[in-house]
Amino acid sequence: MKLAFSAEDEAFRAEVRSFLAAELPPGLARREAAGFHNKRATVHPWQQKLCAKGWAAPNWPAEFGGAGWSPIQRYIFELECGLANAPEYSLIAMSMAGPVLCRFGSPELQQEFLEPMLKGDCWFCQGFSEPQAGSDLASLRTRAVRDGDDYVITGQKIWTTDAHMADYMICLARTDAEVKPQAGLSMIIMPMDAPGVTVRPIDTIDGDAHVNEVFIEDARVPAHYLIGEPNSGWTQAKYLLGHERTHNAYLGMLRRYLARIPALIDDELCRGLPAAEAGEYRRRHARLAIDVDALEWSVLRVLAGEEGPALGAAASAISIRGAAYLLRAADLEMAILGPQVVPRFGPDDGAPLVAGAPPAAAGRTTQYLYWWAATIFGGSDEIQRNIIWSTLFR
Amino acid sequence: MLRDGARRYLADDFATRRRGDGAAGSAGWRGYADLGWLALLAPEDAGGLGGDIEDVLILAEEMGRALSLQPYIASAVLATGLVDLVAAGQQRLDLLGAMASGDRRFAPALYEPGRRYRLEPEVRAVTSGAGYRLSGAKSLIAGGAGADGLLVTALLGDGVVGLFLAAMENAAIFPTRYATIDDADTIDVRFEQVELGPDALLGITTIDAIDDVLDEARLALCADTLGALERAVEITADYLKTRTQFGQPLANFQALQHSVVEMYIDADSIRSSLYNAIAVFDRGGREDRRRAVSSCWVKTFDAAKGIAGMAVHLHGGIGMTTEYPVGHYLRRVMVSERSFGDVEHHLARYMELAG
Repeated sequence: MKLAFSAEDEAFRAEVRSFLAAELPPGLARREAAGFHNKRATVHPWQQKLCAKGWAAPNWPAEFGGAGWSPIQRYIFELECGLANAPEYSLIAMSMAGPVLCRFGSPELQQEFLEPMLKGDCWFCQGFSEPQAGSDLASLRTRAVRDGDDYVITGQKIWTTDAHMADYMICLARTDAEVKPQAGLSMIIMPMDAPGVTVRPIDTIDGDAHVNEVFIEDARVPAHYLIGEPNSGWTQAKYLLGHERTHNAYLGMLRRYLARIPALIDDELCRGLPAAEAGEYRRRHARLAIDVDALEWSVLRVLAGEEGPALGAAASAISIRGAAYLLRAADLEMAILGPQVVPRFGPDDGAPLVAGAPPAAAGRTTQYLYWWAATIFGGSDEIQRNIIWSTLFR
Repeated sequence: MLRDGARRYLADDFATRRRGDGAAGSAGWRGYADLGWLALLAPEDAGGLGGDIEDVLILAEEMGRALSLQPYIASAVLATGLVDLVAAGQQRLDLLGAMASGDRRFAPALYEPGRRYRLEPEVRAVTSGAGYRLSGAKSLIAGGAGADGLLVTALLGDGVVGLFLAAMENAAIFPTRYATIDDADTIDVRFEQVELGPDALLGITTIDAIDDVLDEARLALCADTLGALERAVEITADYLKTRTQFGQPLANFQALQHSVVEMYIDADSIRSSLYNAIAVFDRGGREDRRRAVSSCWVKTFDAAKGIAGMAVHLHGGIGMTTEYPVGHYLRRVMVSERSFGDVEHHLARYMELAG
């Protein structure tokens, strides 16, 4: 199998690089490089620049304002953004709700939501998981009951990323309790300011709060906010989760780690690191680079349209290894930083809780802790292994 | 097409060998020649097909899959590359033609006892009359048993490296023949004042140039290993579906399913690493090629024993028997990973070039 980047691809890469160099706000990149999640307000100007350039939505069809790129161009863009320390923005709207609306939404819904999403004026969260429906998503209990021109939604969501700063939820709810679990679900857009919706942030071990509990008590939503036909939510959810087959390789982030780890070994922060240990860390870095090279080609094989039974398993395999390599990269940074990792840090920018304590390792530490979530969200590693087994071996 | 044909041709290799119908199985060297496999990499001006490394890698995958013991990588890939690199004029054409047709088979003798994976020879060649006199020792010569001649690297003095063709019938060459743990035949040799004619020196070369030719053989060995490991995964998954315990097939147990899936992901990652190396091979400079080959080598052999060993484990007792094929994959990769430099050797080379 042959695949090489064409001259056009390389020209595109150069264009992306120079755009990032000229337009990415340095403060934003610094915060991102330090390892902290950027907030809605801080990434908004960046999204607007991308929007003006027509690059805000790499994954959408061009007719809806998407970039209209080839899979290879999307991949190059993700990689270059990773290397330049560009932050993700409005992730759920751009990568999940947006593609679903483009594919399944009515023209009215597309008209109402897609442009504000592009501009960063309309943020979404994704209401899938529930306290009793994690890996077993189809068993979810939140109900949406038709009442005149509205649906009335009742239930509880959990692990809802960005709910505390979202304007809308793309909510997976049961609209028919009489059929088998997968067949009675619908996706419906729910305004987060609807009466009856309560958001409670969940503090997580990385020292931040990106996920939430969402309590929904008889929230009324206009009936035309239901996406597509009633009871087609499972199909839409599968489309959504399979939409970005290769995003979960985290190649942009992995390349960022690989680029900065050698510098960390030589950083003043790691003063006193014995030479033998430094050598061992360089070897771990080289082994990781070798694994990431292979992962990159696993992604390229999918993008190049390699066929056969393995394709169905590829996204799951990529997701498992992507998360594992992120953890290896972050854990390597923890090892290199040694005692610098230990001081506890504050929630924002890693300001030390005690005056005079060293703050610099905080971002690396929060990232390390956060990446454990990558083994869980979007289908845990175990779910992915089940998918691979049933695709290839059952 | 090449793959399908090779798979059919090699299918009975292991079973035939186990029955004792021939040390090398049914698919002998002559058969390889008739299929054109020996001519794949030989240049067209010497009667070869001037083929693509990719075709060779497909064949190597199938040979690994079939547990073939023919010294294809040593005597077809590496030997052809060395002769093409070093020999000149009519001698080059004659040798390459004879190798491509299967009339003559040579075995590269590059490594030496006590020198691990260093390519710089300690075997010495001094001029003797019109010819040369060779002394020293070479070890682990894959394909050496039954070869018509050895392609020997030797020091000509002042760090000049020559490649010699030494015919096996020379009385001053003392071979020690033995089996390796993958059941292949190999030899070590001692050269005791071996007198060679003037045309035994195929030409002068450099360690760097030899290393470049070796890189093609290394990729082929990674492909061979990939084929072997993918087959080991298949055999294991099939076995779990047929073996019943606790009243149900072992394949029903999630712990075992997930072990197979991990083996599969690791093997498929080797395929990705191989594709990366192929892409670099097509367009990269020497450093890029070396880096990509060493990357593929580390990726392949970091994972190989884990996959093949887990295949044995998941079979239970039957996996430990010589009668059953799965354990032979473990033995094969243990030999392969020590063939042209090991994981540590290639990790070091990768890191030197990564700087």
